[in-house]
Amino acid sequence: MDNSVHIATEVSGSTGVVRLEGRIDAGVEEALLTAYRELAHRGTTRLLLRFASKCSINSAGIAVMITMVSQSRKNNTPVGVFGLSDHYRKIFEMIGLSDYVEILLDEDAVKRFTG
Amino acid sequence: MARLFDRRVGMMNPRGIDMIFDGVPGAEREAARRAMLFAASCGFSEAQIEDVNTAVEEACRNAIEHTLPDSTVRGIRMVCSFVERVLVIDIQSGGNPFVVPERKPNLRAKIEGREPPRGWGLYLIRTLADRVEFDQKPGTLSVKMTFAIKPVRKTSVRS
Repeated sequence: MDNSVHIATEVSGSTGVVRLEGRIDAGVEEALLTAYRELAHRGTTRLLLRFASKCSINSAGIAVMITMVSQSRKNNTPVGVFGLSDHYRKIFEMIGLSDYVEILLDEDAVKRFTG
Repeated sequence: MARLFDRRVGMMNPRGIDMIFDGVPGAEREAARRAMLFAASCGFSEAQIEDVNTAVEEACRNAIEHTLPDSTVRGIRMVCSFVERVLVIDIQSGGNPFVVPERKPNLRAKIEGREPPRGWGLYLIRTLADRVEFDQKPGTLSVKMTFAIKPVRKTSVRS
């Protein structure tokens, strides 16, 4: 079974974008936090997590998301999330993460978030 | 119940699954995939199939994490049955009992760094399944999840 994950970063204006594809679990923590720190170092003041359509997230992956949100809040960096499937959007709402990140439903919302 | 299992591979029949898999990290995904296929064959909606997938994966992960190396119980056993539009999935293992929290994990405390960020698996299981029974006897653990087929909601489009 494929456990691979692909993480890519880019900067769009003042927004750091992290593209996520594959399986989000405990194994991605270091790569994801490193990506975030690099984007912060490049002066970005907002963070956008773009999930590919085939992303899956388990409870350990949720913990990684929480760590990331925790770090971004310390830096006063708003976090936007785009591309979550209905199932994972429901899970973000169930656990309350949607109170701490902005769930972006379409590309127009992404444009508004990134300014 | 008739034993239908075939170690590692398992067998599927119209009435259920009874399979045993090794309690090693990663095996939970194959178990969840089997449960998902079974739920699909029972007529569950795509949304409920995803719920089954997540709940089973988390239950199996939990079983793997709590399995004792010297347990006399062989591997992790997953038993699925479907009767009268209700799917019951029982994850059985040998291992240390674990605490089942009564409350939802405190996300705020985790975000603020006052608690470790982990600890969502049992909450996800309890929230996604219609009913969960935890049976913990010395050396044997069971997490039995029940899912009833729900009618698919029709969404209306607002102008």
